Amino acid sequence: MAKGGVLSEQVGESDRGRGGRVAPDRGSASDEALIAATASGDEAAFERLVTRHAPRVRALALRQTGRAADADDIAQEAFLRVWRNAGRFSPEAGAFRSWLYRIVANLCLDAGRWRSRWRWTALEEAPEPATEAADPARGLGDRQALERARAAVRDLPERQRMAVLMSAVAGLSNPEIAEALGSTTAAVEQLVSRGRKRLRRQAKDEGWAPGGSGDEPGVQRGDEPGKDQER
Amino acid sequence: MNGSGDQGAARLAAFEADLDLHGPDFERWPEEARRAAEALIAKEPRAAASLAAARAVETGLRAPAPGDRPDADVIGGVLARSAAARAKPAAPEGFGVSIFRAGRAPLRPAAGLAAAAGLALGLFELGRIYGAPAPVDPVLTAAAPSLMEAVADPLLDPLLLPVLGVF
Repeated sequence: MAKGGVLSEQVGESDRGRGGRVAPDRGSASDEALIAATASGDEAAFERLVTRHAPRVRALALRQTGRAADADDIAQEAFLRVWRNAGRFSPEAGAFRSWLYRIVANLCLDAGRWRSRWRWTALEEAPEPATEAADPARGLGDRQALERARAAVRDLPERQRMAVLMSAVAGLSNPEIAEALGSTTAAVEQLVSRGRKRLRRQAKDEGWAPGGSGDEPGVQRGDEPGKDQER
Repeated sequence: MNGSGDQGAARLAAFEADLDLHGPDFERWPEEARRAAEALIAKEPRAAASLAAARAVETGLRAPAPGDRPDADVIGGVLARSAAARAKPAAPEGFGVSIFRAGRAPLRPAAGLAAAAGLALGLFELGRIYGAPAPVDPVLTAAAPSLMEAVADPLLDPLLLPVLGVF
């Protein structure tokens, strides 16, 4: 699939064309240099972007949708759109990661809307069951704690869940998440804070976090679950 | 409890606000907030408990989940799908039905044309059934009485049936 020898020249030319620095080698090339090369048809640059980002994209999509088949579709469709629309990416408008995760967020939210319209679920599309094989090295208590954590995340409102996952799983900063969700940094900070707070409190209250059970004296608790429902 | 009174509670609340905003990885915190947090955790068990809970949550989010695939499989799947799509001419941007945009079943141009043709045919048939009557042929009008007699004849010649079909 890779075109081989022309690749480094293409990255260099594209980067110069956009006023950036020329990356010394492909492994350390920036996302922005790689997407510029992809726009000029460089398949190896595209492969590098896929290798760098696809596993996290799919992990996020899986945790957002709860379905492996949807996660596969979303990851594959997201990168297909990256390939087809690489020429439209503008580094002045934001970082590549924000652009990529904006595509991913839209696909995840579309999948969620599709599911909410069609309540029935085919057997082969049922949510992934929790299996011991997923965490073979963990003890029963750990596995139960993980399953509770996953269930708590699934209960978060959709955008709040997306923001928390973008932060925790994809490692995006709050400004990057704001770009990806088409929102303001302040609004995303609120989404992330509320989501994490709710999960942290749940971890303590339900006892699936160490050292936690119930209320603590002297701590204001102004956030009942109903108040966190931000859509 | 080492921290006492309102001041201790305020420090704890501020720490938890930072914890929820930045997450439990201190390298993602602003330097000043990180130093204050580390000092508080050293002397305040409730702060340490909050940090432990936040870390348990983060571990739960990042841990392998049912349905996860090895990185190589994910990368291979994405590259294979991209290569297959590039081998075919791309559908025009925006063409298709948005409900399929999750990528499961994109609508292709041929399927779109077939659907449009089917819709046009259906509308034509509806118009034919419920629309204005067809223009009356004067020759058929003149022949109508004898044809009506033929209809009433129980020994009607089957060869006449296609002619009657026009009525």
